[in-house]
This record gives sequence, structure tokens and C-alpha cells, in this order.
Amino acid sequence: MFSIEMTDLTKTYLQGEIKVHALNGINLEIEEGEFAAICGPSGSGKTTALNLIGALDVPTSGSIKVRGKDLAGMNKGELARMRLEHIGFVFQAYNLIPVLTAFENAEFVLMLRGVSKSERVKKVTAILEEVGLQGMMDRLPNQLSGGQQQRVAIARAVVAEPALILADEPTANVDSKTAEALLDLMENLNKNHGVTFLFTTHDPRVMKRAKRLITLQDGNIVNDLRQNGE
Amino acid sequence: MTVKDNAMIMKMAWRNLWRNKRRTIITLVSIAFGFLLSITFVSIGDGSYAKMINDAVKMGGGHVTIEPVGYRDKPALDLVVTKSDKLVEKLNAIPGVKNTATRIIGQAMVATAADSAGGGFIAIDPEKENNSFFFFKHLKSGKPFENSTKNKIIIGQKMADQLEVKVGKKLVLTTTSKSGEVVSGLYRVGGIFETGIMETDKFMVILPIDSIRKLLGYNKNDSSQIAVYLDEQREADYMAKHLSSLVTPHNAVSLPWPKIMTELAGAIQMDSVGNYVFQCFLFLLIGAGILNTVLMGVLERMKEFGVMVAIGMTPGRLVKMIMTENLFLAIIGLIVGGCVSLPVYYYFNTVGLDMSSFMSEDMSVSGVMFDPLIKAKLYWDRVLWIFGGVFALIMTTGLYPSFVATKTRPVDTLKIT
Repeated sequence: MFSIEMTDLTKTYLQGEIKVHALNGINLEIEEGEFAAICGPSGSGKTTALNLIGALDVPTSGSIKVRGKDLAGMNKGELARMRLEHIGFVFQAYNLIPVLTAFENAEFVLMLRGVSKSERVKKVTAILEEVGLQGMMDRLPNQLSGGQQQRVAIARAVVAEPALILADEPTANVDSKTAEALLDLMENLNKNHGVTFLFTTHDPRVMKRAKRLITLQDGNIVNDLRQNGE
Repeated sequence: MTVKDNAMIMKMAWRNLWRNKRRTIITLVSIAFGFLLSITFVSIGDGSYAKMINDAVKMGGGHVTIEPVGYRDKPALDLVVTKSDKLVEKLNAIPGVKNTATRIIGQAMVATAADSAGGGFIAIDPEKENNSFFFFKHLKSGKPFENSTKNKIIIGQKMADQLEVKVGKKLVLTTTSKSGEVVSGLYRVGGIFETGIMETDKFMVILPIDSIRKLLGYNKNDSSQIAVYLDEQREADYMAKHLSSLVTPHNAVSLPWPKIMTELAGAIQMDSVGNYVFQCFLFLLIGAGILNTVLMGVLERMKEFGVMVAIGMTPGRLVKMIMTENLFLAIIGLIVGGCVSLPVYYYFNTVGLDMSSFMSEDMSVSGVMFDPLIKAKLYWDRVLWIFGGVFALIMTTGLYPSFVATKTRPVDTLKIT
């Protein structure tokens, strides 16, 4: 089963009075359990593609299926439910909820899913320990470093065990040591939990670690390379 | 939505409320201030109305007036309430009735050697009313009646000046009897009152009831009015309806004070409407202030809402969170408002507000003596209405910001840096 299927996907938007063709009819399939990255220069359509896959935006034409479900025609509530149940997000700017502690940020998604308190405590504690945040669970985001915040963001994305995690430039705002650590973490989650990861990135470290590297340029896929972990 | 949702949403809403402490405190102060103003205006208004009404009914026919059928249309002395004593006994046994006063009311000409004056008379039972009758509290000279049969008369200062009489002097009172004949009686001035109400002091004379019964040819228990005083003036309408079957066998009707003192009722109603309009504007202003701060708080968090929506929060839950923030604002604001209002109300309720420096010599409103010392009075239903009104106002101010939040498109808001 494909995790993601994009067929003739186009996205055009207006920038002022100018029409920008962000994606020009791309076709892409991502299989379950892949550790893939979309790379390309700024304005190539990476983030647009990620937003469309994550049901955060709607395509101008074409279709997207996530885990076999066509996103077209879903209302806001259904899209929210879709994201909640199948997709985890890691944002470049971490985007943690500032009034919630590290623990509560990770717990939030489970809460939305209606998971019981005892189950939440068990899962959140385990994942925060796995991402190396033991002892920092009660800290608010502004009491954590950038790298620690991104770990919380990854924990939040992973804790509900989604089939797919979309990460938009996850290493862009952290130092190289932290970036390597985050990549190790995501790689382990991919291996141990079978979670599909799809990144957008400029970061050569991410490109090197990705098992599949999709290159976008001017809204078109110009290269799709499987690296097989070498 | 589940209980678990509610716990998390309440936790987030509470913390969100205190993210910008200064703004929240200013908002709470404006809510509390609005509540305080509302309580103060309403209680002072109700206090002054209650005082005016209670004073007016003492001068007039009670909170509920029992009078002969047809007396409103043709206030003639041949119309009487029969067997007043039996009716009064029944009335005094009704819960909520404080006391009653049997009276005869009519028109008369009063004359001395110096001059004559047209006037209205109220004949009272001195045994029952000597200690409580409104005019007797304003006696400048003389004293209340010793008994109900002696031909004593108490007149106003202006009338006394016109007729050039003092206490102890004689005057002649001329009126028409029950049978329509012109009758006269010689009376001695027993006292002179001064209420401060020009027309009353010039027009009104007070007589003992049995002396006038004799002059008019009334039976011993005939009267032209029974004034019913209630424990609570707001019960007048209800009580008038309640008493109607009781008074019918006595050839009488029961009327609440607004039907008797229409001018005063109209003046109070007009003033109340003015108060309500003022309060509506006040609420609108405060509401606009709260809306502004709540909306600002929402617009500042659009990116955050985008993240929440992206990770699976539904628009409904967003609305719930923002409305919960408003709920907390309302609860705290009303508690603070209540705490601030209590001592202010206590002060105005016990010490009162002295308006004498703003008033002219003739301290009357629609012919009713106006006490310049206004004491606030709050009724529970009014308090509940104000609580409900302020609560509804604050919750309403959350609706538009909630709507704005539900329009969050993560793809747009996540770009915000």
C-alpha cells in the first residue's frame, strides 16, 4: 500500500497579480516505511507539496491519496480527523504550543484522539525519554533550547504512532550536532516503528541520510533517486 | 467531545488567559467596573423609586387603593365603600399587607374672614394614623388630632398664609354631602404642616374621619378609600388583582398605585427607560473594549491555531477553547465586580447619596415629595439580571474572535514568523 499517491498534482496561486505555478502536474508515490526527502532550491515547490500531502492546502488540480484516502471533497473536520489519525508534523520553527509543557505538548495529540490518561502518561513518558528529554518534561517551550524544542516536536509527531510524518526542514534551525542527533532519532523511529518520513530539506546531512531523494525544480520532479542507505 | 478534552481545553484556556497578564487584568477591571456601575445605577434608581413610591402612597391611597366602583370616573362623595371595618379586618389578615387606613377623600371650600381657598380634604382615623400619617411628620405647628370626632382641621402652610390663620383659629369648611346637599362645618385649626410641595401645602386639608362622616351624612363604616400598604411596593399589581374578589361585595375595586398615580408611574417609567438606555450604551462600550482585547488575543495566536489545526484540532474545539477563555474572564470579572460592588452598595444602602445640593426648594417629582437622601436598594432578580447580562455580554464578545479562529488556514498562518 502506498503511503502517499499524487497524481497530476498542480498548485497555482497568486502572488500579488502574478500567477505562480508552484507545482506543475507532478506524479509521486511514497511507500509505507520510506525515509524520503524532497530537496530543491527555494521556490521549487517543496513546502507546497508537503502542505498538500498534509491536507493543509488544497491542490488546483490533480489528486492526493494518503493511505488510500482521497483528500478531495473532505470538509475541515474530516481533514482535521485525517491529520490527527494518520499524519504527524514536524515544523521548521518547532511550533510548540507555548502554554503547554513538553509533556503536555506531546500529550496534546493523544488527548485529541481520546486516549486514556494512563495510556497517555505511559506513551508520552516513553517517547520523551526516547528523544532524550527525561528530566525536562515539565518545562515550557521557552525553557528549552531550539534542539530540545525540536525533539519535543518530533515526540509530538510520533507519539500517536501516525503512519506518516511530514517534516518541513526539521534541521534548519538547529546546530549541526543537534541536527545529527535529530536525524539519528528520526532514523531510529523509522526503523523501530516503521513510520514513513517525508522531509523537505536543503540540508546536505538530511539528503545524505534519506533513503530516497526527490528533487524538485520549478514545480517539476527532476530527479528521484533511491539511495539504499549507502 | 470528551471529559478529557474539556480538561485539556480548560487548562489551555486558563493559561492562555494569563499569557498577557496586564491585558487580562485591564479587561477584568473593565468588566468589574461595568458591573459596579450597573449595580450602582440600578440600585440607586430602584432605591429612589421605592422611596418615592412609598412616600407617594403614604400621601395618597396606599400601594393598593380600594375605592368605590366608578370613583375614578366620577369622584363624588355619594360613592362609598360599604362596611369598611369588616373589609379592613380581612385585608389585615392577608400576608404581605403591612397595614391599612380607612379614609374619606373629597373636595371642599375653606374660608375665613380674610379669604377663602378651594382645597381637597383627606379624612383619617387618628387612632390608626396619627403616628404614621405622612403630613403629620411635617407639622410645623400644632399637633395631630386627639380623637376622630372633634372638629379639628390641619392645613398646609401656604393655605394658612392665604387664609391668615394660625393654630387655634377657626375656619369654615364647605362641601357637598352624600345626598348632594351643600353642607358646612366650623373647624378649628389644630396644626399646620409644610411638606415642601407647593401644591400640597396650598391645597390639602386633613380632617378626623368621624367628624366628616357626620357632616357628609355617611354611615359609621362608610369610607371613600381604604389605603392598603404592602411590605413590598413591587407586589402592588399582584396584590390588587389578588384582592379584587375580596372587595367586590363592598361595592369597591382594588387598584395598584400606578393606576392611581399615573403621572408618577409615567415619570418613573420614563426615568427607568433612560437608565436602561444609558446602561445599554455603557454595556456596548465595555463590550467593545472586551471584544477588542479578545480579538487581539486571537489574532496574535493565529499561527498557534494553525499548528493546532495542523496536528488535528477541529474548528469546534478551537471555538470551545476561546469561549472557555471568555468563560473564565466572565467568571473572574463577575467575582471581582461583585467584590468591588458589595462595599459600594453597602455604603449607598446605609449612608445614601445626598442630592440636596442639586435640588430646588420645591422638592417634588410629579407632585410627590422627593427625599434628597437617596438610599440604594437592590432586588435579587435585578442582581441576577445584571449578572446574566454581563455574563452574556462577555460570552458574546467571544463569538466573533472564535469565528475568526475557525477560519484559520494552517498553510497561511504557519508562514507567520
